[in-house]
Amino acid sequence: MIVVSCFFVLLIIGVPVSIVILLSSIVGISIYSNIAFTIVPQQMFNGLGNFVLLAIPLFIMSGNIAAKGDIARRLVNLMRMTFSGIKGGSVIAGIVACSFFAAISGSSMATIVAIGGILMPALINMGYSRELAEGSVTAAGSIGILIPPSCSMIMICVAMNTSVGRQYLAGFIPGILLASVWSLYIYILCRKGNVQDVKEYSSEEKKKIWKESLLALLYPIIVLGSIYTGFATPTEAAAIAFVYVVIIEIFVFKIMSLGQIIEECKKALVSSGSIIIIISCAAVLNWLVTTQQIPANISMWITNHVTSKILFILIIGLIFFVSGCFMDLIALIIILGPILQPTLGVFEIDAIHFGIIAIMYTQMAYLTPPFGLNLYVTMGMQNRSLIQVSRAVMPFLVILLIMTIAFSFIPEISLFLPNLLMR
Amino acid sequence: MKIIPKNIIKKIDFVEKYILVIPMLFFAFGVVIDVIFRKLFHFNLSFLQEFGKYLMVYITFIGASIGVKIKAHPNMSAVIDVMPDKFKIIFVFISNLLCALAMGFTGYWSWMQFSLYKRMGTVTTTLENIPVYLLYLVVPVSLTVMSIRFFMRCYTDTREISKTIRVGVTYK
Repeated sequence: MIVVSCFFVLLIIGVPVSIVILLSSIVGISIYSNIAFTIVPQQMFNGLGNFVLLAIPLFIMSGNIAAKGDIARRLVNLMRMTFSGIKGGSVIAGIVACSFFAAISGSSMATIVAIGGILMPALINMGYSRELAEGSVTAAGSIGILIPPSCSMIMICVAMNTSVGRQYLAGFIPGILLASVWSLYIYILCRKGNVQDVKEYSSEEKKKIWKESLLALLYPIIVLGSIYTGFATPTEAAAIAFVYVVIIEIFVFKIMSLGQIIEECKKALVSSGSIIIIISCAAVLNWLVTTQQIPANISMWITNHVTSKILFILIIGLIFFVSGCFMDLIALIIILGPILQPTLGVFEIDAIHFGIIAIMYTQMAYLTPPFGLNLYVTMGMQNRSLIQVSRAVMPFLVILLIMTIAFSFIPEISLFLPNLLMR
Repeated sequence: MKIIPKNIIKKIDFVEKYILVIPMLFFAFGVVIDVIFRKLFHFNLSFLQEFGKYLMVYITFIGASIGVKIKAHPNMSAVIDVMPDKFKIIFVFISNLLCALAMGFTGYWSWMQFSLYKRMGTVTTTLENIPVYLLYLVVPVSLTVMSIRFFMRCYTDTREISKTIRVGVTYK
């Protein structure tokens, strides 16, 4: 109880999440254990021993470079051309471009900045309402944590000790379904509108755009293809992706210099260091809760009080949604994952499916006022108020809620591909 | 902080940037070469796995240490953000002080752990018998630097908030 109170007090007064976990663990060790405090740095050191963790800084580095470089612009051009024949095509192009760029950057915020920076002003100039332009890109940016390769998914796999390949596959169908339903909503909305958005491209133009964007499109194929063909492990795939992005930005697109690449790498490594230190500190907490048999006790308490699987899924969804409004998914999953793991077994919930539930509810939290992170990114970019951006996002949030409930209660949607391809 | 000359801070920033980025670039390109060698010549660079393990520790602790300086550590700022500045100043000070103490104590315990590794004399297996204590050194050093940086932020953050109170704008 003291540890839990300490945790929440520190969290509320704004102490960084990693140090909240570390201080609570130190308090816990001093009360419940007689072991020497050298266990703290020892566990912090051992907590970073998983080789797959190295994929996170590599993906963040590639994402930062892609966001600064020319990949986003080329993807937007290609998607606008692809959907140019239908009403609302440019807005739908934004959704699909966000999904593709999310696969490169693995980050919601980077996706909104890179794609939104190009597309939002263009859509408004074309005559689309500000609400539709801002709402669609802000919502679609959140797909970044669901579409592989996502850094959050790697963290989930480290916390739950599951396969990165299976978790990535599980994100595919939900990600594609969500993007399709959002696109359908945009099409229905724009069908009766007066925006002149149907453009004919000559074959020369088409060829030029395809040629320009081919290298950007190859990125997710290289990463995921190398993992699923067994050519490389997730960390190796991340390294290949990084080298690929560096080469195309410096030598092919000729947009970035080596100095800029090093600067972006530094930013990415500082940001990944500040995130991964959470895992390091959580290793101390995990050691404490395991030695005190807390996960087993929590599991017993939950199974005594919650008898229905549906209720349990709703409770974990609610926990992730409410906590996701205040905390990063990575911190949440690192803390809650190992604690809830024994209970998942009792309710026969696949750990991979649990990962998708956690991601979907956190994705909703990113779009829910007043704390949704994505809302603040768009507010800053477009100079709009929280109420204006929240109103713009609302229809997309309702669709996301319906899809989240569907994905939570129909595990086959997320587990179909992993069960089919990686038994 | 005015007590440290600006050109020294610039030099430290420059060194920090390169000691953080260069090993990671080496690793990324090394891994790609390793994959190519493995597929084409059935030969692999066995030291990369162990190098990667220590690199993870290295970039995490150095990255986190720089992260203190630029306030990159994720926190739940929702409550603090809505507080009036005169209360915010107290909580920001307490928060930084607690972080400095937590890092200071953990740093001290990690120096003890460092001496233990040194006494044990363990060496790496694939990285040319490098003593483990040398690779572990980044942990106590970074934790100590983080502690110092949090102590410095007790002063700088408080000064920034007091300045915003004087000017009459809200601190963010």
